Parts: sequence; structure tokens; C-alpha cells
Amino acid sequence: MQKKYLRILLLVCLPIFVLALAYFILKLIAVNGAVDRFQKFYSQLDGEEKDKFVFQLTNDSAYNAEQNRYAYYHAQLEAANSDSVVLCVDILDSTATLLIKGVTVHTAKIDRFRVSSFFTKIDQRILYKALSYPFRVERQTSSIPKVPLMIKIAPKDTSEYTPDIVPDTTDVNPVNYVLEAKPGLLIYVYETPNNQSSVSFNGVITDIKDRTTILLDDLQRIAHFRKLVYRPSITLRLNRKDAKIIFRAIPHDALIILKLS
Amino acid sequence: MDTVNLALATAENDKSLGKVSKVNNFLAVLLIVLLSLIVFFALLIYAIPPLTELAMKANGFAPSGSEVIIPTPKDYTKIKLANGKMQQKYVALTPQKSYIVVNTTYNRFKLYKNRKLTREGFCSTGSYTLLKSHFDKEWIFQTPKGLYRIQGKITDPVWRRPDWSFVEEGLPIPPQNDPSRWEAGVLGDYAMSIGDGYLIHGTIYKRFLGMPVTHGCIRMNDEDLEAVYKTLELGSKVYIY
Repeated sequence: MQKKYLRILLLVCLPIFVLALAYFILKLIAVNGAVDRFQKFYSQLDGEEKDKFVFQLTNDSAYNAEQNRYAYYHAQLEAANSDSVVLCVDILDSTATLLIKGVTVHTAKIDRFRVSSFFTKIDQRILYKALSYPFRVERQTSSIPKVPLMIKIAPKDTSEYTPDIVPDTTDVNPVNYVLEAKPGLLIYVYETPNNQSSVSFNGVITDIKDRTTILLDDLQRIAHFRKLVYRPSITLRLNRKDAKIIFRAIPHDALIILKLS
Repeated sequence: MDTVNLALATAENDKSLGKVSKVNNFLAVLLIVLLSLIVFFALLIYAIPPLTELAMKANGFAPSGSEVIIPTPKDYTKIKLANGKMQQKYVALTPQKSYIVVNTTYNRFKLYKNRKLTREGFCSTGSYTLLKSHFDKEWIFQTPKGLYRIQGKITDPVWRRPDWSFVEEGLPIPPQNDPSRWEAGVLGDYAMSIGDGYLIHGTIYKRFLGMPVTHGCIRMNDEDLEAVYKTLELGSKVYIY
């Protein structure tokens, strides 16, 4: 390569790497911000807590397992007060279940999952407290409509009437969605391709789209000299049928119970 | 003369070569900038998030300091007791009596007795059709989701056609107690009301079972309907999702 091109390449690459490094540092600062956000959000619940149990900070794994169990049951009972369909994600058993008033109505196997390391970074007591309440979904974005509504105009008289045709029940649309819950938790649900070894083209596109949305949001914040926001995420891969059942069943402000370890 | 011509031609040739090399240079620089931008974009969306994750893992929370406790047997007893109580409460949420679970996305039902699955099969639920009339009235044909209870049980039900059933066929809406509203034999042998006008009933359109075709009710075939009718009691729970 000519020396001139090498110089240009260096001139272009150097700022790029500096900017990427700066972005990385800002992202790390944002993680600390998210830890504080979680801490603040769940310490507010202290005053509202009905029962007297207080989570402890300990290195005893058996005791931590009991604390985790406590958090899980507590969240289940809290969610059972709600009348709507609740999603329960159990990373330990690799299952996603739908519950109505505490009764399991559907269980789906999670094919693959990825949990953000953020959960290893926050104080155990805060983590158990967070897990002992259901997360409330604030926003949902998806590749399929929530309600597959079909509009039909009533005929003016019997001469215009045509009996209903059989609805189109073919499953062609890919099922991918994001559930954004308070206080800033993202749950990505992607359908698993039919052939386990193949890569779903749509899944890749959705993934790029989701990552780009986060990046654009970050860049916008940087441009306005605002702090970046880090949102811990959980990515689940389910088969299309289960992913669709869950998405159609849960309401817009769904409750989500998490069991992490 | 020839030498002069040759010199002129060489000069022109050099000029055009210079132009070509300028364009080439410009294209090369553009390519470098474009490729760098792509690499930059890929770096930001694919390399930074895992690096952030790694940094979080490396700098994870480790309990230390005076706040860390070593649980005593008393602590263990306390938490195990609390967990036992909560587990009992949680298990008690699942009814011991018979109940039915209806999946409206794939139009299936599951019938439970003594917390055991006794029957499952196809059903039909709401079609998600929005019917717009010519007089500013609309109906959405969807099966409601959540927990419902069997509020009434009847044999040989007769269907009282609601307004939408006439509007849908382009017929004039008759008065409330008009005989044309009553239709026998279309709801099967049994019907169970779950409230708000929704029923679990039979159907004459058996080929549509497993499809979302109803106006909000839950349709079943004759055998399933009979089993459900005989298993569920008044007050039995109906879980719809």
C-alpha cells in the first residue's frame, strides 16, 4: 500500500478508535448509573414492604439459594394479585411460563438465553429485592401485531352478504419482540429458527435493528451532553409457536417474574 | 514536425492519466472512509456491548466488609419456615376442583381434575374481527383473556341472536323479543356461561375447530363439550390466555 493511503487510513482510524474508546468508557459509567438506579428504585420499596423478611449479604451459597427461593415465591404471590396473564422466566430451569392468578397455563422451553452480567454487579440484597417483585412492562415492540384485528364492513342488505371465509392461519411472519420493563430492564424474545443449525435471517436483522436503536439513543444523548443509560438485558430464544403464544397472551403492561440462579 | 506532435500527444496523455489517477485517489480515499465507518459502526454495536459485559463480570459485586453475615442455624430456620409458608400459599393457588385452560392463539383447551390433565383438544375462539356497521356501531369479536368462572350451566340451549348477528348478514335489527332472534340447535347440547355474554358451547361448524372463527364464545365438538360440561361445576375456574 502506498504511504499516502496508509497515512489517510491512520488519520481516519485513529479518531474512530478514540471515539469507540470514549463510547466504551461512557457505557461503563452508564452501568454504574444503572446500579444506582436499581438501588434507588428498590430501596424505595423498603417503606412499603409488608412482611418483615430482610435479605442478608452473605457468601453462604446455601443461604443465598434460600433467599433466591424466597424472592421467587414472593414475586409469584405478588403477581397472583393481578388479574392479567403473567410471564415467568425461569433461567435455572430454562422455562418461560404463563400464569393466571398463580396457576400455570402454559409452559415453554427456552432454547437459548443470555443474561446481562449486570446482575452480577449489583448488591445481592438489591438483586433479591428486585427479583422478589414482578417487573412491570412499559413498552413492547414486535414484528407481529399484538391483536391480529381484521376489519369487516357490514353489508347494507342481504344481497351484499357473503359468508365468512376460513381465516388465514398460516404462520409466516417471524416472531421477535422486545419487552421493556421498569426500572430499565430489556427482555428480547427471538424465535429459534426451525433448523437449529441455521441462522435466522430475520433474527439477525432484528438483532441489528435493536442494537442500532440503542446506539442511536446513546449518540443522541452524547450530542445533548446527557449521561448514557444502560439497560440490563435478557435474551431468550423460543420456538415460534411459544413465542407467539406468550406475546399474544400478555397484556401491554404485563408483569414479568424472573428467576435467575 | 513529428517530434513536436509526439511531444504534444505525450503531454495530453499525461494530462488524462493525471485525471484518472486523481479520480482513483479520490475513490480510494472514499473507500477507506466508508470501510472505516462500517468498521466503526460494527465496533460500536458488536464489540462495545460484550466488552462492557466483560468489564462488569470482571468487576462484579463481591460481598465483603462488616455487612456480610455468616448465617446461624436460627437464620436458616427462619428463612426455611418463610419459604415453606410461601410455597404452601403458592401451591394453594392452583384449584383442587376441576378447571379448564383455553389457549386462544392456537385454539386448544386443557381440562384438569384434581390438578391432573384429563382431556385436551381443539376449540374455536374469537376471530379478532372488527365489524363496522352503517350506523356508527362497532363490535370486536375476541375472546377475553384472564380468569373467569362458570356462572351458569344449561342443556339444549337456544341461541338468542344479538344485534351484530343481524348486522353481519345485512338484515334489519328486529325488536328485542322478536321471535326471529331465537334459534335452536346451533349451540350444541350444552352451554356454560362465563359472564359478559360469553359461553362455552357446541357448534355445527366442526370443520372450523382449531381456528379463530367465533364471535368471542368458545366452541367445542360434541364429545369434548359433554366431558367439559360434566366435569366443571358452577363456580369452576376458566383460565383463558
